[in-house]
Amino acid sequence: MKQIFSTRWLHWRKQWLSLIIWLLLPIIATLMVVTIANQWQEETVIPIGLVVEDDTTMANDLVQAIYDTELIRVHQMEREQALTELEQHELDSVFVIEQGYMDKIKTNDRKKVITAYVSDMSIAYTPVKEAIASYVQQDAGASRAAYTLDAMATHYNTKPTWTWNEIVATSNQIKQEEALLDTDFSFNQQAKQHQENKALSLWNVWGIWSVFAFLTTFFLFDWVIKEKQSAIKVRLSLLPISFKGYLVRNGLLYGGLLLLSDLINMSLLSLYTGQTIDRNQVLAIIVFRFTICLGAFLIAQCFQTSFYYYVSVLPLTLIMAVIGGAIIPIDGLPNKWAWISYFSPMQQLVKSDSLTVWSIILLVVFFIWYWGKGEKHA
Amino acid sequence: MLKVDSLAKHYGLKQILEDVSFQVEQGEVVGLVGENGAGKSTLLHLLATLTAPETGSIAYQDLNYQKNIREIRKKIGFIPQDIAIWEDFSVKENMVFFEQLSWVKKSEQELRQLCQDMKLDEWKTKTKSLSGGMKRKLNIAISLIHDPAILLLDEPTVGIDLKSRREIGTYLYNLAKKQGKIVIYTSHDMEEIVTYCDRVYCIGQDPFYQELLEEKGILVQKL
Ligand SMILES: Nc1ncnc2c1ncn2[C@@H]1O[C@H](COP(=O)(O)OP(=O)(O)OP(=O)(O)O)[C@@H](O)[C@H]1O
Ligand SMILES: [Mg+2]
Repeated sequence: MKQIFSTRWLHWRKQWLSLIIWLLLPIIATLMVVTIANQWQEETVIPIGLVVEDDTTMANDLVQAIYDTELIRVHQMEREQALTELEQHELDSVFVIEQGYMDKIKTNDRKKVITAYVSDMSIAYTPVKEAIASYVQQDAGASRAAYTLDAMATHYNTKPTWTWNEIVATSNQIKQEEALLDTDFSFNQQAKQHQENKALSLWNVWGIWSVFAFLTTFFLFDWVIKEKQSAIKVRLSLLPISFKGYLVRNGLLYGGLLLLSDLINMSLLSLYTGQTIDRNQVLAIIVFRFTICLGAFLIAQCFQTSFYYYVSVLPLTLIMAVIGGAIIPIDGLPNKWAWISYFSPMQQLVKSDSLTVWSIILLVVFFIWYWGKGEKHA
Repeated sequence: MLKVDSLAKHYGLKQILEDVSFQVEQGEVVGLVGENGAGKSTLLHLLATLTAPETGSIAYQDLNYQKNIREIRKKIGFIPQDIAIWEDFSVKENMVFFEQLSWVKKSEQELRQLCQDMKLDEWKTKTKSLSGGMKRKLNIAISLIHDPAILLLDEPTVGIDLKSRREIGTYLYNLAKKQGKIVIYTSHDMEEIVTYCDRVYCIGQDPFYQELLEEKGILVQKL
């Protein structure tokens, strides 16, 4: 193995720049994708129309609270304009703080403190409504009496010919809200769900990383084809270690180098995401690395020219990424057919499993290849 | 002694070698001639364990090609017709690469000496920038790193200048005569064949080479 290292080192010394670029590509690409995605997420806040018809301190406090809510952008305007913009889908939903808001809260009047309008394309109505309901509850303060938020929802059709009056005429009053206690509960649930989503997105960092790691591994393993096809193969076949032995040892060396860079990548990513890494995840990375190196090694054996190998690697990466749920985790194929994800090594990494169908299948194929024909007269 | 017994080899439907038998003693230099595509390289590949014959057997001393392939490979020095060197390595790196993976250890000094014996003085030069003949010289030197007992040279001297060619020829001739190595080589250069070969085998249907060499008083056997 020492000899293999020193001979491979001669190659690596010549290719150090491209080697380093390939090794760093997964982490750089992942950080880029994650940063861009985060920025995009920050920019895609939900536009909300707010109509304030009550000019009291309590109403103003509520307005301030709504402004301070995360992930929404508040546009304060007149009711008529707000509804026009809602109709044109420029606003996700419209909330009106009705005249006499403070008085009604104080007298515990349940009717029409806040009216809400939605269109058929509203996506954030429910969470925003619940957030506002919780602020109203805070306003209701000491009087813990049951209290409801009445809301009116107007379903706009996409037909732009409708006039405002028609819309109002066809609008339905939103069902009576549940008791505030309930609302509060469901808001908490929403918050919990939100947290889960965040955790998922951290794991998605690994999903994205695994796609790039997969891709670069396959590109790095093109040496197998190059050396198999070169005139040098004749010399390598007459070595004390057979040609296959030479390939396997070099494959191990590449695997080791890649694993080393994985562990560095892993530490960097965990610094970036602030997530600690446990023993299972380290084990999962090792198995993932072993599996894709073995896969790249064996697939490279099937090709005569690097060009067709490169061309095949791209769709293969894409397929593995999609069935593994590495890039489209929600509503992706794995949700429809759970079994399909077992066929992707990315899934194994994302789920931190340490044993996969692939590692076993590939090992079997490897031994068939190694002990199979052509060993003697390589 | 290298003993070849009724070898047959075909590629697809094409029969290349049929019932080939011959013997080469230690210290003999044997030439292989024949037209392009006659099967000279194929025969050398068989002798170098790079392909297996369909029928027949080969043995070196008491080592059987099928049973003792490892020991046989240790004895084989194969100089391929297509130059087999790492193009982006220097001469030195090429020699060191194959020495590291070789059967025996050699010092850098010994490796350099081997190149100089092949009349190649370049050492740190990138092989990419070597001339065609220089690459040929390196191609021979690499195959001699492990002091092989059987030298199989497939058109080793194509494109090498006449002076170097003579010196390399003498060097290989001396390896056979002084160290008892077996040298089998193919060439289209009849003058070279006449100068160094003890015996010549002719492969293929064309009687041209046979007649040409017999005119010069060389014993040619048909395979
Ligand atoms: N790997 C192979 N697959 C199929 N056919 C082959 C293969 N190698 C050689 N041949 C065929 O075998 C025949 C003999 O080839 P070989 O290389 O032994 O000829 P040669 O005598 O060395 O010719 P040259 O003087 O041109 O080097 C040729 O017809 C060639 O096409
Ligand atoms: Mg030939």
